[in-house]
Amino acid sequence: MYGLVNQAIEDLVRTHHGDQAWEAIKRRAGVEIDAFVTMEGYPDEMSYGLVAAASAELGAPAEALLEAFGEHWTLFTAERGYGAMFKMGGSSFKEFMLNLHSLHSKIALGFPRLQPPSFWCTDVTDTSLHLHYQSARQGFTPMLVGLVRGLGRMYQVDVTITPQAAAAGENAVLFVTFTPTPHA
Amino acid sequence: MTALGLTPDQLSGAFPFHFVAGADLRIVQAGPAWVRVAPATCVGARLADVFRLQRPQHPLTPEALQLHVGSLMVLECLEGGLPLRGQFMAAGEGSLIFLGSPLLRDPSELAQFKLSLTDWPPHDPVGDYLFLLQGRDAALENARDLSSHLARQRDELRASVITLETSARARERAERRAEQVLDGTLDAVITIDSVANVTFWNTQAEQVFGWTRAEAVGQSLAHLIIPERLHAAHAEGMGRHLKTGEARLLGRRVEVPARHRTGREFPVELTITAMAGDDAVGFSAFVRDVTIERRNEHLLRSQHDVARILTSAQQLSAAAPAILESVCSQLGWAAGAIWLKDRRSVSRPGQGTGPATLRCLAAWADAALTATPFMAETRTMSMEEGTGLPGATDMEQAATVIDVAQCDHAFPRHALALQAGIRWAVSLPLSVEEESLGTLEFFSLETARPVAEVVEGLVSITRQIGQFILRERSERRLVAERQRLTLALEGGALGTWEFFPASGDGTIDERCLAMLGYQSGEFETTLRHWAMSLHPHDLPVFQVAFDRHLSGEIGAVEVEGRVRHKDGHWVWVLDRGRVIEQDADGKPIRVSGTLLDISARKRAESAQRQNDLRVRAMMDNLLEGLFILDGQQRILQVNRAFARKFGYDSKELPGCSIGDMLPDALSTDGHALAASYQRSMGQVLQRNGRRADGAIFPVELCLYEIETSDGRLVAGHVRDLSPLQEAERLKKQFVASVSHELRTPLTAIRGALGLLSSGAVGVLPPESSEVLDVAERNVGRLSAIIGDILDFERIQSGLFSIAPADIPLSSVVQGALDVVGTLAREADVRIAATPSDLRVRADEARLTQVLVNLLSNAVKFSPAGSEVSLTASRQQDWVEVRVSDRGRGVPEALRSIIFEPFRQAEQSDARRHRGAGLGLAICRAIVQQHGGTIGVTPRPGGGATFWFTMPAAGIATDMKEIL
Repeated sequence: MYGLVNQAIEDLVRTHHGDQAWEAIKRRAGVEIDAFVTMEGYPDEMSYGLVAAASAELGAPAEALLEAFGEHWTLFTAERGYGAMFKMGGSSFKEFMLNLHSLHSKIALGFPRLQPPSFWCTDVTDTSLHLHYQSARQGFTPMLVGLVRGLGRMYQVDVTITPQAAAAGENAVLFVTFTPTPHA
Repeated sequence: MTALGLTPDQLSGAFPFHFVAGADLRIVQAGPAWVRVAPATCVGARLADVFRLQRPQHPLTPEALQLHVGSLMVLECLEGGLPLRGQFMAAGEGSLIFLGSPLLRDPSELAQFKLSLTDWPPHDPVGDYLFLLQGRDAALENARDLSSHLARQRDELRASVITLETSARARERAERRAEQVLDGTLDAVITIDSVANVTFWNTQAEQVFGWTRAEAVGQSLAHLIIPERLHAAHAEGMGRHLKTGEARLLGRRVEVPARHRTGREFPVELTITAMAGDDAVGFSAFVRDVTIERRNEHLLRSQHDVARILTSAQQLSAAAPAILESVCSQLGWAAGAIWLKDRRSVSRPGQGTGPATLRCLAAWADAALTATPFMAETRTMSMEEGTGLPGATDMEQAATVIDVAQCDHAFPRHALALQAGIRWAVSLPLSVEEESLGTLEFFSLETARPVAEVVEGLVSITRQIGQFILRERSERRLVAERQRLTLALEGGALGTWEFFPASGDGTIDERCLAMLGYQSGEFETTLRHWAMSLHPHDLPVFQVAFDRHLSGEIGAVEVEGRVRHKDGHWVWVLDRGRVIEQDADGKPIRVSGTLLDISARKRAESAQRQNDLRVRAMMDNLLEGLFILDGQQRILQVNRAFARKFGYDSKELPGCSIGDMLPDALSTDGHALAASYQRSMGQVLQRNGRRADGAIFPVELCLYEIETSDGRLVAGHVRDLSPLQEAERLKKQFVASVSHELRTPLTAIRGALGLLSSGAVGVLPPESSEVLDVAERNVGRLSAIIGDILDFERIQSGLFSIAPADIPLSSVVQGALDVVGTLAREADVRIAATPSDLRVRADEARLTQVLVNLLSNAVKFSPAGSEVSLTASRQQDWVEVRVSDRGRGVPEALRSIIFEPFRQAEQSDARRHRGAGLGLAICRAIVQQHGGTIGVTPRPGGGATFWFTMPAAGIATDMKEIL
């Protein structure tokens, strides 16, 4: 997992629970890194450990934390200079969702060790779509839900997300509805 | 058009920024993205009007484009400057197709040219390039963040290093300070290692034990400070601790004996702490020399013992052995003695003061000394003031410490003392309130000199003993006083009683019983019976008084009342009492008091009251007002007449200032009052009084001094003059009115008689003339009397005045002789006037009036045929005129009052000589108005001489000054 993801976890904890909580979570997770490097790849276990430690320290379910991380990640990443990249992904929520896979392919150019997940959309209308998610990592579906919510906030559309039954080989299928934007 | 075998839609999808130019270089087709971002690039526009060939640098001509077909070219849109990167390709029929996309070097240019990443087809690496650029920017920002983070960490690290360095220095300083502190502490601080060798030894330890730090460090602790007899125990304790961890002394404060370098043992307080080092265990000890504390404790304990012994003792002789034993035992003395001065030897009545003798009151010694000859000698000997150790101490009034071996002359017992092994003797003066009472002696077998602090501490014991002696004396005096009081009670008809409120029982002594006529055992001594014996009118008074006292409202009871005597009559008693014992809650247990028979005093008081009532009745019935003042002119007492005259209630006047009623009677100043009083005493003064309503009225005041039990007081009586003055005023008004009313008709009568006697109304028969003469003479006399009355009234009212002038006396004499001549001839009296050229300063008419009056009187009282002489002489500034007759004279008793109005020498004179008795009073007023004097003296040979003086002419006499 790239440092950018861990940074988002750190930023979320520090913003809402304070520096001491973050230090406690790091201690609990056995992480001795002072600062994550955005472009550096870190073991996936470290991210899992941080999430588990945060759940224990903050007394919240891991799923809820992951969803919160996902939503926060969108906003945090946009603030940290990746907003323009998001904009490259599309001029509207729908367009962005359709370009998710393309976006990750381009991101992979800059993150050579990235194992990007795959996204594709089906049943696309002006107000809804089915988002198919496939990844080598398990357990990040709640984070995807948060990511989609964050994107909705970024594009200023109301979003509802309903998990659907996933086909074999898929991690998740989300039915996403959204309000059309004027330029969508 | 189609190109590359693609349909237009396919071409636009794959190359959204493509355009196709014809052989004339006019645009014939453009991609959708191109149309969106550069609308000017419309179909038909000339290529050269829309673009500039930026790379290669070449004019945009067909030849140039044909030349570079297939090469990488960069076009720049003339409108907006958007660069395009791509290549021209031949599209047939001379047309060219440009396949490319915007060349952006920074993602931020997307917004500038209104482009989106989706404008680039997926195959176009420029889109990827821009994405990478964006990733690079994000990474750079992250790198900057990391750099800042590292910078902060570096700063924090530096700060930590500085802190560590500072801490290290602080630790070094702290260690040095700790060493200094340990050096500066009042306790000795010693540290030892696991084998009990000294590793630290502070300055105080050097002082306490006598070893320097250099000498002590590295040495065995036992060798340095532990008495030899304790070495084994010390070694055993150390070994046990190191082996088993058992620590009997660790962490506790204990007192143990220690040894000084000199070998002297002394008590120390010790606290030992184990110190765990890197390699071995050590110990630290805080040691404090408590020699002084223990000594003070022993001293304090001995003082407490002495106080306890003296508190329970009745006599010093009984307490002395116990005192000495306690002090010696506590403070380590082998023996002690108390010497007292024989008071009988100090003062011998009639022989003055002789030398006092000191005698041993008591002595005590420990077992080793008690049977020695020294103690036997001490117990039995006496010595005169100033001799021996006690005598010298008593004389010097200072503590004396003697080295017995070195001193024999001041210590006669020194041989016996040395024999007993005594090394030191200490003697302290026993005195209180600057009176020397004796001395205290203590003896020591120790070689060391007694410590000065111990000797000083003994002083407080001498004070305790001195105070006890004082108390002993006071108690003896108290016993004597009690005996005297008993005698006084017996002689003063004063009985005592006591009762117990809880039970109501009590006792009364025989004097009380005798007072009431009872024998012992005849009177039931209970409160109930006492109440029944009291007069019914007095019982409530007693009950109230005792209730108030028992409730704490008043401090004592003092009440008078009547108690029935055995024979039935009432005995007046003064009952005094107070609670003398209370329980823990403050409730009275015992009440005690005295009973005094005051019947005689009551009878006297009753008689006095009766007398006072009588005097008061007399005073109140007097018409004159009476008052008595205190030393500050405040009214003590007035009678009713005084209060009535001044408009007050007599009860409200005591305490008021007399100045409120008699504002000008006395001075308000205390000193002036005495002088004023002295001047006024016995005098009848006329002053103004002031009533309560402020009205002023005349009073006659007489002050006098009275002797009373309260000292000399000023008293006075006051008479209201208002009625008298009103009567006087009415009288004057009446006289003046009558005189004037008489004078007018009298003048008419005189005129009518004159007309008759002159024959103006016809000749009268001779017998009528005689009657007429009588009438004329009597009218003349009546006129003269009325004239005198009017003159006197003018004098009285202050309206009488004179007009002095320098005039010859002879003319005045002649004028008078003319008036009196007829009277003299009728009386056959000759007036012999001696000629005179004297001149006087006088009112001629008034002076004539005086002379006429005196000459008329002289003629009237002279026998027929006699002579009246009139002489004048100069007496310095005065002229004296004398009229002498040979009549019967003026009796001596009347000479002082004959010039008063309405006075004549004899009452018959008024009838015989038909006068009003005002002539001489008028003469005196006239003479005095001139400043002169008038009087009468007997004439040698019989008769009287009336004389007066007038100012000589030219003498400016100021009447006011003379008056």
